[in-house]
Amino acid sequence: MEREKLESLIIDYIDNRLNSTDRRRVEQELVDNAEAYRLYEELKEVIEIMDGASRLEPSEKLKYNFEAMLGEEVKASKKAKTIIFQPMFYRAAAAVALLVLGCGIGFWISEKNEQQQRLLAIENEMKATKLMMMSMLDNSTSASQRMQGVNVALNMNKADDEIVRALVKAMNEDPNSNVRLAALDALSNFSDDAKVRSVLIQSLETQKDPLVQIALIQLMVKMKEKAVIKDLQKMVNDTETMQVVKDEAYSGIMKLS
Amino acid sequence: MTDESIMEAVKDGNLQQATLLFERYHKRIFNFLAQMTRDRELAEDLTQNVFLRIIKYRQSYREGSRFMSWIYQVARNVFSDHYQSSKNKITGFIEVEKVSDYMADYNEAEDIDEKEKLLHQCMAKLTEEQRELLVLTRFQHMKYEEVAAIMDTTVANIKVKVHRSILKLKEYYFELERI
Amino acid sequence: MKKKLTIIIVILAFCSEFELLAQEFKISKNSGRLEIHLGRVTVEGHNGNEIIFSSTNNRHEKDKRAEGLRTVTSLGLEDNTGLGVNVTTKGDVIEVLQLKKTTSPDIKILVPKGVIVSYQHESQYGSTARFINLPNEIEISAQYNNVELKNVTGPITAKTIYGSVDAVLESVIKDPISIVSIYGHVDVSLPETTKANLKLSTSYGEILVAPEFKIDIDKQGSMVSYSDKVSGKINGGGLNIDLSANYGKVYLRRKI
Repeated sequence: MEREKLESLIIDYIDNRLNSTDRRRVEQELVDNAEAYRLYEELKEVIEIMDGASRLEPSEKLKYNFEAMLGEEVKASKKAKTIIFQPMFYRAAAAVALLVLGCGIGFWISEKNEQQQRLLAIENEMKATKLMMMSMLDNSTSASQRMQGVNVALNMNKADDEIVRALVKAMNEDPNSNVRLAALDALSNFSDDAKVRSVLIQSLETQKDPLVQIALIQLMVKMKEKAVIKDLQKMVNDTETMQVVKDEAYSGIMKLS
Repeated sequence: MTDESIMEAVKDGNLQQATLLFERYHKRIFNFLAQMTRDRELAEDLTQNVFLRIIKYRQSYREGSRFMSWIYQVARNVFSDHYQSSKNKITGFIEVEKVSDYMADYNEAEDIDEKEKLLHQCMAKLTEEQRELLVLTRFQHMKYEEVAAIMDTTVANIKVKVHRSILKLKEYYFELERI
Repeated sequence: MKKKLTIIIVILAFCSEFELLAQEFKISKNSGRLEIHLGRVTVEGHNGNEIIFSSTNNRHEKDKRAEGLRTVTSLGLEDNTGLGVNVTTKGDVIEVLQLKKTTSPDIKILVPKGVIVSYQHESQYGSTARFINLPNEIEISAQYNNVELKNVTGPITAKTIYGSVDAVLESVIKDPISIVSIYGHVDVSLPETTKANLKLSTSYGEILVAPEFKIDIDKQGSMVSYSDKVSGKINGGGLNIDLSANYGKVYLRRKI
């Protein structure tokens, strides 16, 4: 067999791409021809290293920058829409009017503007952080990514509805107990908020994860939330409840009443 | 949800969905560019650029075409644009200093074995096209059909070229190993 | 001549026996998720591209009567590995199930570094799940099992209800690390220079920390805590590490 043909066949052989006739031909050649066998060994080594090579991990910065960029693009696309539908004339007129107006009061508001810009910058950063958190919470294959998403919320000192909703969903539905627990922990930071408080109380009724049940009961005791005594009573009487949880619920009742 | 339906949503103005595509592809694209540029930091910048183009030029995505082919085409363009616009072209593409940094990344990683490090060194000796073919077919485990779609050529052509690249790499590898 | 022949036969017999002991089942895979549902197991990292299952039971006796037959179990699973476990691949997920509810085979699994290792076991029939030399992401959800983690880097999310968790972390750690037990202890060894945001908590146990770790306690919130909870930074903060044991103790040691 000519060398080039043989080389190609051996590579296909290693990749398991040959039909049985060709496979047998190659195998025969490998047995008969020591040189071919050496070639096979060498190619196999190189191919195996390539196929199993490790991947580099990009830094967190990449993700962060992406979220920031996406935020900008979303904003830009909204702006673009409103302008595009205006006829050229109006746009020009509006520009002139703006210019005149701008010159007039520009000086007057410049100070105010600066302040506003700073606020805007903070808001943008918040948005980017939020986006990052949301996309991490969405990762279905990696529990630790979701966990990191929840941890982002831990460092926020304010949460809007969207964040609270995402955290509640994680607390009640995430397949991983550690993620649920972390979500509860993050939410408990905002437990001064009446809305957050009420979702926490609601979760006590529906929560099935014993770890989270225990942590919730402890939190209710901390918050001195007497309204949950009835729920705790129900848990104690429910045959489905794990013994550990019952014990905790019972001790909760004692502390709250 | 398929990549394609997500991209169509992005095209329809639901830009937020691009996050999903980023999640699915950023590591692959980053690794592709890291191996092509052999410069980590640059690869991150270029990856960012790829996603920026995906979003900015979302209208140019043809419905029904494979998203994976498209994003790799964009990545290849970003890569070649970068080198066309920079002087690096004259110096044979690669900045020596950055490469040693890049190799240092690999060398520091203790869990990467010596043979793999050696192989990465040899990759640098290949032509850009050969390197690209190996990164796509072997390191990223793409099918010949997929690579053919990205490069807009035939499967047979890709196969021949991949085989040649493997043989070339093998040659460099065993030359170095003997030293 | 006769003697020689007997020796050869003995050697041959020995070889075939040996082969039986060293039985392996391999799957070529270096990404995706490996979901293990076994009462006990040892999972170890390795440099290859294959997930390799092997039996660690040396007294694996061959049942002559069973020749040519296959095992049928109440769970409807087939022993497709020859090791007493059923392994199925569904897309990016590889599932490992034991054939019988109450007895788990002795299995060791070698895993390449790109695979996420997930361990789930609810039943009380089981013992220790060991995870050794793994730079992989690990998820553990157990009820009764004890968990041992040795030379792992994280990320780790682990919970067990009745069991304990002992973990020795590598010098390069990837967060998050979250380990929870209700009745057992949580014992973690960290390199002294680890930069981390720690959260250590227990309801009825104790928290014990090596003196080398100087914790800057965060002051936040005005609520009085009924349970014991320490949250603060070591070495300036960084990685998120949460350890909690409700009824057991939390130990944080310096890795030697």
